[in-house]
This record gives sequence, structure tokens and C-alpha cells, in this order.
Amino acid sequence: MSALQQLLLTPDATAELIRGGAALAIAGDEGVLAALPPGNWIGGTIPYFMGPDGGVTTRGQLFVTPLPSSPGCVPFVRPYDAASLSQVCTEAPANGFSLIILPAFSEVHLEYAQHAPLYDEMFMKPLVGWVSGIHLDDMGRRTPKVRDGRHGALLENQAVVMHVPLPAHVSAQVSIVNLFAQGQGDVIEFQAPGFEASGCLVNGKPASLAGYLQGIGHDIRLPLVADYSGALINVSLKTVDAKGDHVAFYGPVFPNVAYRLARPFAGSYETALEDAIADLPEEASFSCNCVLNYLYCDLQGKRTGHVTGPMTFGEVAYVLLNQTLVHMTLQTY
Amino acid sequence: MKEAQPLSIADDLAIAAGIPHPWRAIQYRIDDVAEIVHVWVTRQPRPNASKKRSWFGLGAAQPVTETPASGPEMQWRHLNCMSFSCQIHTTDVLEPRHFDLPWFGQPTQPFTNRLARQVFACLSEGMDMSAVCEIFHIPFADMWKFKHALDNGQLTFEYTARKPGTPAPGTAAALAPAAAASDVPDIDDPVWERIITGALNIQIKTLSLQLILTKLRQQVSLQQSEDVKRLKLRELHKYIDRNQRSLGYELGQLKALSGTPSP
Repeated sequence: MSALQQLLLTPDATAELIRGGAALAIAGDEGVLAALPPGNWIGGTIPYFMGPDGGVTTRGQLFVTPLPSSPGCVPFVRPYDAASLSQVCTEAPANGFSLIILPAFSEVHLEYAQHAPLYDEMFMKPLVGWVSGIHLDDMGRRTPKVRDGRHGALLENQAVVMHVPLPAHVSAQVSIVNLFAQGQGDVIEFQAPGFEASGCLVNGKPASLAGYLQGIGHDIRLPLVADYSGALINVSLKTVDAKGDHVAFYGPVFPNVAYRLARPFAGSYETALEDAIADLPEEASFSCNCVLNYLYCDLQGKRTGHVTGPMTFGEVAYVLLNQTLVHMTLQTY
Repeated sequence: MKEAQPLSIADDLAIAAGIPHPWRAIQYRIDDVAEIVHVWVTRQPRPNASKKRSWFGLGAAQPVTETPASGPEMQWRHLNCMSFSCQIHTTDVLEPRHFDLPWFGQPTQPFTNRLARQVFACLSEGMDMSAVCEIFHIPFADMWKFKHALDNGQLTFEYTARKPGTPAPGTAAALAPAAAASDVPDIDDPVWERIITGALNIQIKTLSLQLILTKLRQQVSLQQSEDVKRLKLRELHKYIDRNQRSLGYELGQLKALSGTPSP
């Protein structure tokens, strides 16, 4: 099954696709997302994109991911609140994939970040998605939202999911591209899960994380990296307050996981990413990247190879990720 | 009859009943005359967890949105708990979608969705209602109510009766009927124990396998019992069986190593 092309479109062109009955995942600023007609689609707020011509910040266009539909395999929308989110994988089709959008800073986002690995059927069926956000100029004035396209309301505390059944001879392949690798430094571990930490273990010895990071002069743009059987999973650093003995993260840390600080990658992000994605199929059925990469690496106007998509407040490839590109393709057998 | 008990054991009962966060048990009561364990479930946060975090430095911390637990008490019969039957109660105001959660049931029905699914599977396999009642310790009146709803289309379940030797629905074998015999080593092959305990490592390219194996190894290392190991090993085997079409690189290594016991 060939991938349907992801596109950066005007609101009118997007509305036309919706009215035509297409199943879609849509990313856009709140104003344009709210104005779209009802249909079989899900959406989330974000104004940052990697388009075909490079990184772009726009409130007037929408990034549209068409989802495959065929007789007997029609995508369907399900909203989930924090109380029902644990069922997201059990309700996914036996053969297919699910695309989730979660509003940042919400209870449902927190729930997913901390508990998704333990959900029934997690990892058994492909699950990708992203965390909606806002324009940085709107901080304090707006909140990230999602929309169940069947209805008009924008939602602040629900996740929306498009479950996509696939024909028996097709399956979805999820991959990630993370330019950060574990450095050669100390092993850092945590004794409790969470988005904040004061204490930690450095090479097995109790230490203040904030004090440790300040002591080595760490650049907070470089995340903590854990090695999950070969998959490198980042936890990005938000703030380091040595005086207050407090470190905040953009994703949760977990106990019994050995983290190391990332080493910087050579050259520019866009060049390094272009090399890293050289082996990925050009036509992704879904892809997204992190707004931190967009901001830290100043990607506005710069292309990152052939991979496009929304630049989000968090990425989902089964679990919640930071500073990572998520890519999904469909494979026919 | 024992007095209602707070927390701790209730938490454990919620885990055993398959009730995940943010739902939790706030109370339980054991009726040793009727041989029933009653568990009260809520999604209200614990009293000391009243703040949610703010991320990306945006906005101040806000109180978690709470739905007061002031609704009428609802209850459903759940799966049995050892020799006792189990009754799930809640006084939370439930939204329509919550009635589809496995540990709750439909508003007018006697069984939780999880029990209802098992009862339906037994009936689909041709078991007599009286036999199903006997196995699950279900009152016949409740069974009739359930059967009546089924017969009148008020309840719908998907279940495909399997003939011996046919693959389970949703497995890769079922999805690719033309494929050759399974490439997945048998569940009793020693390669699985070596993989899940970390005694054996293979090169893994598939993200979902990297993530699930890490999770299962962590769980096995934290609770070193044969039962846990066996349970997690089955979960890994189920994952591999279901996704074998995508796991050619990894399965080739597993097949080459299968049959080799731990050194």
C-alpha cells in the first residue's frame, strides 16, 4: 500500500478534503483548526511545521496527514479522557495502527507520559502521534487543544485517536530517529518516576542532580538518554535550578533505568538528520518532529531531508518522546 | 461480616481486578458469609495529590479537575477472586464512555464488561447457561438478564469460536493465511527464558520489540519468581507471534538460537 502524501494546505483545501470524506489527522493553529468543517478527522493545535520547503511557522496553513481507508477498513475516531486512556491499545484494530494527539500540559498528557508503557496491549499494535501545543507568543493566553473532527468543540483535556484498520496484507512500521546518543559520562538513575527531581544516583552514589549538572557545566539542550535494548529514548531538560536543588524535565524519568547525558552531534542538526534519515522510505504515512529541535537548532527555513510534519510539544512512538523524529510507513506483504 | 477496610489491601485488590491508574480502590469489604469481595472504585485523586504540574514553563500549577463522587452507587459482578466472587462498586459520576471500561458494566446489566465477555465466549462455545452459572458462580437470574439483553441486541460482543489447530484471531498467522508454518520458536523453547532474563542478547532493529523487551526484562528482574517469568515470557511470545511479519531480522536470530539451553 503506497503512502498518501502528507501536505501543508490552506484551510479551504483542507475543508474540501474533509467534505470529500477523507480520514485525516490535521495540525494547525487554533483559529484555523476551529474553523474546519466536521468530518472523519482528528486534529491538534500547533503552528510549527517542517514543510516541503523547510521549517515554517504559520497560523494560516494546516499540515494534513491523509489516512488510508478501504472497504472494510475505515478509520474511526475515539476520544479518551484520563480515565479511559488505558484502553487505547485494546480498542485499536487487530491489524492496523492508531494515531493519537494529546493536548500538552493536560491531565491526559501527564497520564499518558507516566503510565502508557503499562497499558494493556501496549507495543502489540502500532501507535504513533504527537502532543499539541501553542505558538510561543501565545504563552499564558492560550492553551494547547485537540479536536474530534466529528464535533465542533476544541478539547483541552482529552486525547483524540484515529484507529486505522489495514487490510490483512499490509502492516505499519514505526521507527524513530534520535540524533542524540549516550555520552561517555556518568550513569544517572532515579529512585522515583516523575517530571521533576532533586536527588538522583550518579554512578550509584546519592547526589543532587541540579548540583551535578551545574558542576559539570552541562548544556541543557542536551537531554538525558536511556538505552532501551538499542532504542535511544530522550528525556529533555526544562530547567535546572541549582540554588533550589530542583530539575524539571519535559518528559518523565523512570526508576531502574540507566540514563547518561547526551553527547553533542557533529555539525548542524539539519545536516546530521539528513544523513540519519537517508535509509528511511521517502513517503511516510506519518511523521513528526519536536519543537525543541525546531527551536534549539533554528530550523525555520531549513529543510531536514525528505521528512516533513508538525513540530510538536512531544512525540509518540508507543511511548512519549522528546527531541525525536517519529516516522511510520506502511508495508505490503 | 467484616467492617469496610481502607486502602492498601484495597489497592492490591484493584491491581488484581485489572483496574489501572487513574482509577483506584478506596475501600473493600469481605463478606465471608456470602463469600463476596466488594471493592469500591473511584478516579478521584488521593487527597494529597491535588495539583497537576505545569509543563514547558507555561502557566501556574492548576488544581486537577475533579468530578465529585456524588453519583448514585452502581455495582457490577466482576471476575471471581479465588474462592470468592467479586463485586465492583462506584459512586463516581460516570461519563458514557466509562461504562465501556472492562471493570465496569453497562448501566442496566449485572456483569462487568470483562466478565460479560467471558460469559459470552462460553455461551458462544455452546455451553449450557446452567454450566456457565456453575463455573462463574453466577445467579441464574443474572444470567437470564444478560442473555435477554444479548438476544435483544442490547449487548454486542465479537467472538469467533476457534477450531483446534486454527490460529488465534489477530495473530500474524491468522492475518496471513497463505504464509508458511510459524517461524516463531515454541513457547517452551529455552531461547525465550534466555532472552527475557537478559542471558541472551540479539540485535534488535524493531522499535516496539526494543521497548517491550526492555519493559519485560525490567519486570522480571524486579520480581524474580518463576510465575512472573512465565507470565512475561508468554507476553513476549504473544508479541512476537502477532508481529512476526515485521520481525524477520530478529526472528532469524531467534530461530538460529532456538533449542539451545542456558549454559
